[in-house]
Amino acid sequence: MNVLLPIIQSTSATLIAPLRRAWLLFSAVIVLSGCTNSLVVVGDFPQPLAAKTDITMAVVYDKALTEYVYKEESESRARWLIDVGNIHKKFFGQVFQPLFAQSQALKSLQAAEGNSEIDLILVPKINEFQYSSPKETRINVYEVWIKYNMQVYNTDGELIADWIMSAYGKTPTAFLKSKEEAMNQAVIVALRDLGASLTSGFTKVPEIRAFLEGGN
Amino acid sequence: MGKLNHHTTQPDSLHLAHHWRSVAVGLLALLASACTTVTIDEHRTSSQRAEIGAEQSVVVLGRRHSSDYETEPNLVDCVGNVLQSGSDGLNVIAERAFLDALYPWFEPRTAPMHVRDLDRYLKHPEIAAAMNDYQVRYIIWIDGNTEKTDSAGSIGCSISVGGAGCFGFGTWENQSDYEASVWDYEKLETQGQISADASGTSYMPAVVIPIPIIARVQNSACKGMGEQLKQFFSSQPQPQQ
Repeated sequence: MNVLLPIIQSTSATLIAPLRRAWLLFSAVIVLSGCTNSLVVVGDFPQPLAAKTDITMAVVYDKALTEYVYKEESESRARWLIDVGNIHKKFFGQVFQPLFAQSQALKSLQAAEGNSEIDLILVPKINEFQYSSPKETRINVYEVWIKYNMQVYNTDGELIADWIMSAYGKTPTAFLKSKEEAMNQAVIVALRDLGASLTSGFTKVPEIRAFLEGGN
Repeated sequence: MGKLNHHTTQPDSLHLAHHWRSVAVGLLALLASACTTVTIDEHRTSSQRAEIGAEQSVVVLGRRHSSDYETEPNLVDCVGNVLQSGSDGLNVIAERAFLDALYPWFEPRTAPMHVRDLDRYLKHPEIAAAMNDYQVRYIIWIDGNTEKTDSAGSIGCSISVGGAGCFGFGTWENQSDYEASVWDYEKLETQGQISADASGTSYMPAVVIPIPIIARVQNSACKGMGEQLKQFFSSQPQPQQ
């Protein structure tokens, strides 16, 4: 028994130390995840039902858009870290495909210079992101507003149109499992709203209409 | 009892235990549902009943344009399920599938607010073709929501070395208020409106374990409105072939 005691003690020590570390790590994760609601927006978008125009459109996905992350700074609000930008490539790809004869992705405006196959280049930017939660509004919905700056250039790099678009989405919390899921759904609804605006209004923007009527 | 169950692989005692467990769960479910009051009002714009062919469909959609509430998707699904249930069930198009197929023309920003607005939609050949593919005859718009209107009481829970438990009493009242408008897509006119108001009080007594006695207000409003809508259509004789 005396021989076995040091072995048992040493075995306990080697078992307890990693367990203690694991427990501390687990507690830290729980505490930290309890403080911040972290969300990478995911979702699918339907293709719009609309007549195809004969425009070849390019969309510039610069880092300001694709890496846009909203971080709640206010001490009085719940901590949110929302990766809104990443989904925009999927969104524009899906929405623009049936609207234009061709739609392609570019990393920068310069990449389109002198490209005779492209008619117009859209550079979308997120100017502002806002949200409200049920706790703040006393209604059982999450709401999201996204303000965009849309800039359209020709292949010579000249600015043709520059306008602000807003997107709004809300979703009831009742049928969703978590606040992250509700917030995600509200962002997706806001993007669907943006898609509705683009489908029904893109070619009605006066400068773009004038450009198209002028035979490019 | 033993003879009756001789084909089963379970022993009789186990079967009895299952039987009593089922009875207990049933009784508990009965006890655990509080009362709900539902009022249904129907208004038809003409004495003619809503005609619908066996091959035609209805789509149930929720209104989502208001800033201070949102018609719940599960309520819309529930009404659709009631409409398509039974031998006299209608062909119901799922809301999500319809909204995606006709995107973006029935989104909150673009959805027609009046039946005459549908005329404008029919000028788009893509929309008209999609509606024809679905064989849509009626669009049922549901507007409203269910909300908690009042609450009282409190429940306290504590954990100690000896165990954990709760003590107290809580109560809350839910109110549902929905209106369904039936649009005839073929005639481009409103066929009528059905409103459903439901209210109920839920209770939660807690003596060690909290026991929720829930008033299923939204579900009652859904069932009431769905059955009334079904009568709106099912009372109509099928068109002669």
